[in-house]
Amino acid sequence: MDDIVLKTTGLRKYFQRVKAVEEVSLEVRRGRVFGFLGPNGSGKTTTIGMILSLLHPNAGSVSLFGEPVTAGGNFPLRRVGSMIGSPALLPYMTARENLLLMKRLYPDIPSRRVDEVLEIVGLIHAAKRNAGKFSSGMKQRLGLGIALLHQPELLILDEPTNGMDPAGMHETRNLLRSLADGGMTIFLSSHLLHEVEQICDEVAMLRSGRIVAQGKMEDLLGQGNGIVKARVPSPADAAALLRTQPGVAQAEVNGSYVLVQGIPSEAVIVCLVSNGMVPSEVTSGRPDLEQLFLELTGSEID
Amino acid sequence: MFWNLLSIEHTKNFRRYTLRIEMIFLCAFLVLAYIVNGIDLIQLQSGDTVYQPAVEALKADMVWPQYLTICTSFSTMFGGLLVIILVGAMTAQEYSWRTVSLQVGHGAPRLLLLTAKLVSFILPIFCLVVSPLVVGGIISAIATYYFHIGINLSQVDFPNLALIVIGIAYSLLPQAAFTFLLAVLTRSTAAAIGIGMGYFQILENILAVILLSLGGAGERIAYHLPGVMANNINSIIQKNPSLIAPSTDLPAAVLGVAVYSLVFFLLAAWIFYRQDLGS
Repeated sequence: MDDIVLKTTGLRKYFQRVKAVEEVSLEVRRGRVFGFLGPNGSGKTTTIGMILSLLHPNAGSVSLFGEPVTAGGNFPLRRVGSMIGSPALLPYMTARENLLLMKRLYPDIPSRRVDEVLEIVGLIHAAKRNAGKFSSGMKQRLGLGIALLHQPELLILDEPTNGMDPAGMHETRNLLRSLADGGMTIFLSSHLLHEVEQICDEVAMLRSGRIVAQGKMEDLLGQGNGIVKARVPSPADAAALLRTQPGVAQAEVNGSYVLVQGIPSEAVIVCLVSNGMVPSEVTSGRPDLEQLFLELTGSEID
Repeated sequence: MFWNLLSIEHTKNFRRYTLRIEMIFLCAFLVLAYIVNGIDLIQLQSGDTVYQPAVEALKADMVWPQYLTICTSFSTMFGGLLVIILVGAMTAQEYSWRTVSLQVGHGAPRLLLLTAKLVSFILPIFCLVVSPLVVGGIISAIATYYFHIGINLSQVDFPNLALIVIGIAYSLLPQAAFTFLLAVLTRSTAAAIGIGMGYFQILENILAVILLSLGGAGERIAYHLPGVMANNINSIIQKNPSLIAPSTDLPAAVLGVAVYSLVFFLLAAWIFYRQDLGS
């Protein structure tokens, strides 16, 4: 049986009258890369905050490696490395000093690990520069380095490639994949859906604080409705008609075609024909994560 | 775990420029005052009418052993203000940098972390109190030799000097703990420093005067205000009667300072334990 590294059960978090997170239950298995997606304000960061004992849940529980996480004694978190949002750094200390300071929380780590981490995140050349003078991409790298310093069993990352250039993003993706291949469990929240699709084994999607889809990537992508492409004499009229149909997430004009998402091709054909618009060509394609995301959350990407 | 956290907090405190700037300010002010005294002495000596007793009195205040005790008055005068700024800035800014969240998120228990943060201020407070004594001791030692007086260590009451230093540092604890509480509560450097200074430097003095004028219960309350009790420790040890609510009950003042500091810390701990540390 797969070892469950992270488990949340019925997590709820309210900020006065706002229900930020509602009944979020998920399980992350050892060695998997778990993607956590959702539009702006859906509750991703709040959920991660509760997992890391930064926020107190109004209800529900979090367990890491089978042990409960509480504000008083959160020793399971010592096996976790994390970076939420912009990295937490001491700006008046150098990159190496920031790492050396965090190393004191883990006295068993050998001193050479600091330079190893600086090499891994590509900051060995800037080790003696004050963190306050770093670019946003460099700060993200240092934050990632701090998260990796003690070789955690579970890595929780919220938007790890924020501020990085394309080369940095590529390196980070490769790094995360190699860490996962080496047995590290990764919990990744990102708005870069193509990135998530490339590296994640499982995904949970959040909307308005609730999980609307959860499971293995291939299973979820198989569930979604693809894009139906229909060639019609009046694409604009066809698009306007299809937008009024229940279940249609999107209907856009593309030249002489209308592109429809949310309903199967059979439903598109029936709708058009019954309104006197007979398509001359109909094709459908497998959805990617972005399409599935839009379909399930009904909104723009975060 | 506690010693690891304490070690981290110590490094943070001493690597920041805040403490160094405050020590430099205190010592610079002392040196400036010493120079002004020196100029006064020269003017007294070179004036048309030389009033010898005044010259001798001023000279005595600028050399060992008298000047060592005068040095400590700088810490007494400015210590409260500097400690409020130090604790307020160093504690509250960690919220904006999110380094508090970083440590909690990596498994540091909240209460241990908070205790380490407050305890880590003890050494910087001592540094603030001792630095004028060290600098003043050096410049007055030079003056002592200059005036061909010679340093006689037996004239220096080192135990009393040590007691004064400990007394000043101890008397600063309520201000440190109160500012610490404000920083945790508000997460704002400006609020922590502003309210801390507002209470200890202004409001409590006014409150004490009003309560004393009421007499009876008001007077008893005045004697038990945190800043008043702290001032009384210094006034008793330094044998310099306090201008506001003077008292000669040292044990009561010591106990009062400890109780206030503990209460402020426990309140901060309760708030911190329940606090949401969102990004």
